[in-house]
Amino acid sequence: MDFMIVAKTVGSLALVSGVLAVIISIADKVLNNYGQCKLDINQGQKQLTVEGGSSLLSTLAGQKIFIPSACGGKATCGLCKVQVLSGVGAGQVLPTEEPYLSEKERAENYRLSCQIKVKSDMQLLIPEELFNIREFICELVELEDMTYDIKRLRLKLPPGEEISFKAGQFVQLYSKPYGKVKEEVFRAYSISSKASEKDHLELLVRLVPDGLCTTWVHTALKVGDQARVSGPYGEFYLRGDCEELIMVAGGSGLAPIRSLVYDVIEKGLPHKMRFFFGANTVKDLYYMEEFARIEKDYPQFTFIPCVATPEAEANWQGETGFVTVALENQVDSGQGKEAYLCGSPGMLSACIRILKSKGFTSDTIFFDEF
Amino acid sequence: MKENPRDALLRIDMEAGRLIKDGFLGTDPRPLSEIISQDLDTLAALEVSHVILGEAMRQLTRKGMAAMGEEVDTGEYLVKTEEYMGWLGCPFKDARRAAKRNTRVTDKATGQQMRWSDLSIHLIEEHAFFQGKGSPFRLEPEALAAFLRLPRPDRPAEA
Amino acid sequence: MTPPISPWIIFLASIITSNMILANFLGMCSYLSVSTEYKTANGLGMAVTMVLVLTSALNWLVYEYVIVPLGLVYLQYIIFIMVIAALVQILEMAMDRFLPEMHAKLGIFLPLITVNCAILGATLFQVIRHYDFLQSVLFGLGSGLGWWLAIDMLAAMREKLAKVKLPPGVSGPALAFIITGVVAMAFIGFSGIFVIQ
Repeated sequence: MDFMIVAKTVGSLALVSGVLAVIISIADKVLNNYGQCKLDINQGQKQLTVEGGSSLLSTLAGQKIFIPSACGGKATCGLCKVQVLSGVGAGQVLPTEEPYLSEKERAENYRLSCQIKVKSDMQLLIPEELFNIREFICELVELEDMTYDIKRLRLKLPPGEEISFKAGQFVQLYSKPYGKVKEEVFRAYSISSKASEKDHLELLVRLVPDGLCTTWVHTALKVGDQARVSGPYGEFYLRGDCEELIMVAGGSGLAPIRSLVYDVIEKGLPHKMRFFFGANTVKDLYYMEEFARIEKDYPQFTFIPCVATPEAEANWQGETGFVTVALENQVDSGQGKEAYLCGSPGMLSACIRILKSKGFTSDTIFFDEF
Repeated sequence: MKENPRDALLRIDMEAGRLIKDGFLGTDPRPLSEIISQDLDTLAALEVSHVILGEAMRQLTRKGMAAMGEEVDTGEYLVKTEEYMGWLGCPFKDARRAAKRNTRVTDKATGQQMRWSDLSIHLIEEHAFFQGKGSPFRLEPEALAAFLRLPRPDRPAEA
Repeated sequence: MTPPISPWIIFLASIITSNMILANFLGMCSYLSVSTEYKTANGLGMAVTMVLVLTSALNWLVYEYVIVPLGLVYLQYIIFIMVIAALVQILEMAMDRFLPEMHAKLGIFLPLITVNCAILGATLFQVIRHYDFLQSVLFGLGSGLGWWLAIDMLAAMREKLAKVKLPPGVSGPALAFIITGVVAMAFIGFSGIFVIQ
């Protein structure tokens, strides 16, 4: 074989590919850099330089600014709204954002930060309190079965760190990849522990069939594992501009109510409290002794568990039927009261209907629905 | 045939571990549009539309919801709904979401049971999507139509 | 050597009488796969046209000034493919930056333009027929526009037919082939107008 031909072939191919590779690299540098984008927050209060290309939600989280999200950026919770004054196509609200932005919000340039990408310099307005939100790598110190499908997690914050939250708020828990789930996922869970306890957090997680994060908690997570949380988030906390608090919860919705009850007691607030806890069967009840004890020690608090269809063998003596029945019968009017609700969408809409018929208004009903 | 780009984009979120643990496609190797069109062919042969099926499922679920989680007797069926907190987004990116509600229906005459979620009602009614074969929540169109006793002479078959 | 045909005749002929898809049946696979939605098909048609024009021009220059002088004619296929691949790579980056929605919709079919036989086909046709620079560029442009026209027609028809009740088994690829065949036969009617091959 003529050596010259081989050398010529190899040489020319190498030369051509070399030239092309150089041209492609130059194009890559020029085109693929969304480059560094400047984010101006709150008219100069904070200025960040970030890598473009990702969603605003995750870009800000990377800068340790945590915008609330219950659904992990899938546009089903609507909590991640941020005012974007410039830097993203104004007036071009995406179809995925539409259900969550009212006319007024669109006029004020609110966007869902999980749906817009950082592509150029942006000017943002972010509520002050969100700057208090931090991330904690906690250790799981207790994992207890409260019922057949609800687990209690007790998380210890890293030494020296504290979380200050208002009773009723939630944190985001980040699951790790497991089984078929290849990515980290985060979901919102209300804090069930006392607000006065600042170095620990407790969460109540109910297993949702096919749920990504709840399945991780119920199958893969073990005591001693590390779990990342961020928070606190949420608009569900005590206003207290009333004499009595009507609290309604179902399933794992008990979590923020427990925190609220202890908060009122520990702060010595004068409010009367009535907690209607709805469960499908007696098997679904938990924290029964604890709430009975609180009822005994603090007459301002009344505990009303309602079981929809009690099992015969359980010999249930308390209220039967759905929690709305007890609500209808025992709450006379909305006068001087505020309502705090936490549960599934169906339970919430049924309870809100009844409360509104009693005179409660949108200003006196507070709920968490994620 | 190769999957077209739009279906390929939808498929990403339908896989296991993206929106729900087991995903919507099971072990089905077929492209998304083929799954839907073959199920539509089955429905055409049965002379039932997916919109009518979805409507029938929704009516049963509503009866279960009205009973607030207790099992309710509708005459032909026993219906029980169960709810969890939160919302699930539709994987077809139409910005619709469904509550996490599961409905369990028992046919009083045959004892046969079927389960569906609020999201599957939307997927069937709006997108004619019964989920991929091998998915634990796939409802076979013939089985569903037979279970719901559709089409019926007193009810129109086509929407 | 250079055929004495006006470049403009070549341009028109490559759209109508020697349409890449309908007369030469080149570039079929992405044509069939991406023609289910009109907007996406339109985007791909535009991308293929851009690639065709640029590759025709570039490959002509590479052939005249690199391949022939250096005696690399035995390597021409590899070199043409490398140029096409580099161009498509750059086009993909530009699309991702400036038209991200279209880039997401086209997905894998954008890089697959590299192996779209219409692209290499156009280059090889111009080499075999000894077209000069202007003829090559207009041939590339016309081939691209013809490909774009064909995929737009098929996509428009498929979108309309998607809403119609068809006999079982016909919808999908079968229908695409039937339509393409019928349209190709229709285009044969143009064949007397210009002859360039």
